[in-house]
Amino acid sequence: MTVIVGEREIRLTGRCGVDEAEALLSALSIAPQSRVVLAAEHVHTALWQVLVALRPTVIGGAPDRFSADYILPLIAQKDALP
Amino acid sequence: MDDLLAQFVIEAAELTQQAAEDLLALDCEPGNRARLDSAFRAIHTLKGSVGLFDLAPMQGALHSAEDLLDLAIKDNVELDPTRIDPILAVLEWIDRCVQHLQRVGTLPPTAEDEGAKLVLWLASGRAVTPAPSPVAGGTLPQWAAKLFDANPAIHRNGAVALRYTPAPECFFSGDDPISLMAGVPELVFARISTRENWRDPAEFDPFRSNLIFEAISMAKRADIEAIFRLIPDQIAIAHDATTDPSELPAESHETTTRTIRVDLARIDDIVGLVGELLTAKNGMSALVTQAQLLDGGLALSRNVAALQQDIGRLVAQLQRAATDVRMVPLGDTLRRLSRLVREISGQTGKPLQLVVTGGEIEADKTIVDGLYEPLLHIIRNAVDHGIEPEEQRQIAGKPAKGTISVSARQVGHRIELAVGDDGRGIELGHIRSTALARGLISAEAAAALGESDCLELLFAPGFSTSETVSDLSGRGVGMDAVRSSVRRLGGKVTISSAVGTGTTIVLSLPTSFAMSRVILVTVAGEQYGVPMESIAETVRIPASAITQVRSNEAFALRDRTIPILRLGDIVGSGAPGRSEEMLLVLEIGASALGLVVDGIGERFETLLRPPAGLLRAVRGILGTTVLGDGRIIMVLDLEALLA
Amino acid sequence: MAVTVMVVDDSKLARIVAVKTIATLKPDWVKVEASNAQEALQLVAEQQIDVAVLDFNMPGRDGLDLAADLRKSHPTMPIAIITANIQDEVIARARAVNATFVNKPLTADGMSGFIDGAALRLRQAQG
Repeated sequence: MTVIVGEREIRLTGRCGVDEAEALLSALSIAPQSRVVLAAEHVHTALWQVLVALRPTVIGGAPDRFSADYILPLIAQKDALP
Repeated sequence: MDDLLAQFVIEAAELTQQAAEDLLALDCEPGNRARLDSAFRAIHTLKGSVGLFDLAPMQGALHSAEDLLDLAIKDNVELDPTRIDPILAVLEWIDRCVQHLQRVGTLPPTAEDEGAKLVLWLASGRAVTPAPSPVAGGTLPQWAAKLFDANPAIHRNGAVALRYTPAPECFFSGDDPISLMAGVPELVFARISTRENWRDPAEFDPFRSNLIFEAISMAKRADIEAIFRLIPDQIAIAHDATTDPSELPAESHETTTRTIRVDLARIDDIVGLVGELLTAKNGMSALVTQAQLLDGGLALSRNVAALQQDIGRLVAQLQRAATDVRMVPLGDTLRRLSRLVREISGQTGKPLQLVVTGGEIEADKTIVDGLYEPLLHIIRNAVDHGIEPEEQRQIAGKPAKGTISVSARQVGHRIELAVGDDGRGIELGHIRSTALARGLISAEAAAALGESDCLELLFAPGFSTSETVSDLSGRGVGMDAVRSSVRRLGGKVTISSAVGTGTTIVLSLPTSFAMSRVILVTVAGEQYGVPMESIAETVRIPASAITQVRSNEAFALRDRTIPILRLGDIVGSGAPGRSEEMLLVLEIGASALGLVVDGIGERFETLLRPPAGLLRAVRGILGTTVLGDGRIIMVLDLEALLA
Repeated sequence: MAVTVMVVDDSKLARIVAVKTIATLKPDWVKVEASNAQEALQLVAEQQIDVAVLDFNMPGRDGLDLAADLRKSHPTMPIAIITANIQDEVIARARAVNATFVNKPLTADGMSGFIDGAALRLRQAQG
């Protein structure tokens, strides 16, 4: 299990495969105020999509430069995507 | 692509390069008449070559460019930038068209418009009016133009735009789009949008890909294309090839020229050096052992070992890259066969057709070139001895036209070339009587021969099954010549035949003279290399487990009785048996064989050098290799030794 | 119900590597092996196969030929083609039968995309 759901936070660790997108989605739907802690080596696009769509508070570091430069800002962005 | 067009592609690249160099020189030194003449000649020649093909837009633009230069030469006027620039733009455009032609086989769909614009521009150059830049941006797709427009700070020259629209179902095929994007080198800009608006969490399907990526990279277009190669339908890549003509530097040609011609000897030098590098890497094993013996040297030894592994990986990559350069498609040789078959058909009066498949498969140039001769003999033999005269074929209910098929396929690291004919096949009785008549075998031996042994006789030197020695296959170019030339390439030949329906000869060859895994064995104090590929396992058995079967030895391994040979006897330095024997178990074809050796040493990877000089005449030597400590050892060709 | 994956490769060694690689990713999957296309088709006829991992280079019918056959009877089965050198023509053939490429030499990393995607597809089909 690489998506770890805590009381007020959801931790992503290790290699988060595509199938864990569902777990992340349901955890965030149940507790939208949870913050998401990024501590993973790899995060599959499916999980990034959940984060971009639901835009929770995200702390921690992205596993690669592309997600740090271009995906994290999307999640933090206040306005919805065009 | 046909030969003529392939040649044109090479020549066109050279001519545009030449003309562009001349024009750039003229830009600095407008009075240089030699350069002007040279540019004119190059463009004139290019126009002539273009005329061989149906490439009207190119023809038109080149014609105008040639006119412009011709005028300058006749009127003895200096070319100024207003005239040089449009010609350079034409050359650059020609280059692009030729590349498109090479890749797709046609001109880009926009070629006609672009060509017309260039002709206009050239005309304006002739009138010496300041030229607008009619082609700038004209070739970029709209999305790419928008992407560049949104980033005016990025220098378009050399930048590549990409638009990646992952299929909604792509996660199910294992795609991870963000991961792919993270792998794009030299990214300078990216933006992400969505296919459709995000739904509420309740309806949101996390397994549908909804993102669209647009980005600009400064990396080479080919490198980016390689990343998205498996999803050509989801990716669009564009680069602004029509750079502002006034700043067309010489180096821009380097980025558009995709092939260079290199002397094969220079590539071989590189391959040779890689081999040396490999040897040097193997030498590090001794360092690992030495370090282990030091006080507290374990960590050092581990580090050296790890480093050796890293270097090994890099050398292997380098070796692959170097051997790749020598890879050419088989089609280069196979194409020559169709002319051969036409010729033979004319000579023999037998109507023939040649069916070739697998021409796209690649192998080392030496192997591809070396295949022509054996294929030629095989096909001649097939027509001579296999394909029946037209009347006979009709009686047999076969199509009048005889078919020769040459099909290549890749099997692991080998290629298999099957040459088949639909002729009469080979009568075994015929082989027997011919061999008998030629004194190759005795009458009892002939009667006892099985089918495959019988066919093997075809490879005996000087064998010819035709009653009359014909013009074509004649004497002395029998199957023995085929086998020996294929062997020189590291290959094998097998034959199968069915009376009445035809004969198939299969050549199995390596794709390249690649690295071999070799194990060192000791026999009577000497070390030899043995290729690992033929070794199934190594076992140690008590001497008592070896049983005598008539004059031969054998032992039982997992319910299988395996004959034993002593390598010492084969290399001519027999040693007495001992209480426990070390055996290499070899799998050759369907049979197994135990080979007794005195000791087994390290295993390593090496680039085998083909035997040279005196060794070439020695049977059973695959090649030589250099050990880490500089000693040269012989690598044995077990199959030849045991044959 | 356990997922059954079929590994088809003419090399025993390559099958061992493939089975091990799949086992590290999905220890609970059942692995069955075939050494050529004919054996593979026989296996498919005899038992439920959910996922197929095929070597491209095989004597007789190659991996893509086999994939095309399997696709006829199993329109949604996840199929991977294992190959070391990918030519554009081969890519086009693979796309036509909706097969995923996995690079040789096999690694858990290289295989995980396909296996995860396959697992997802099977689960969705059930759910």
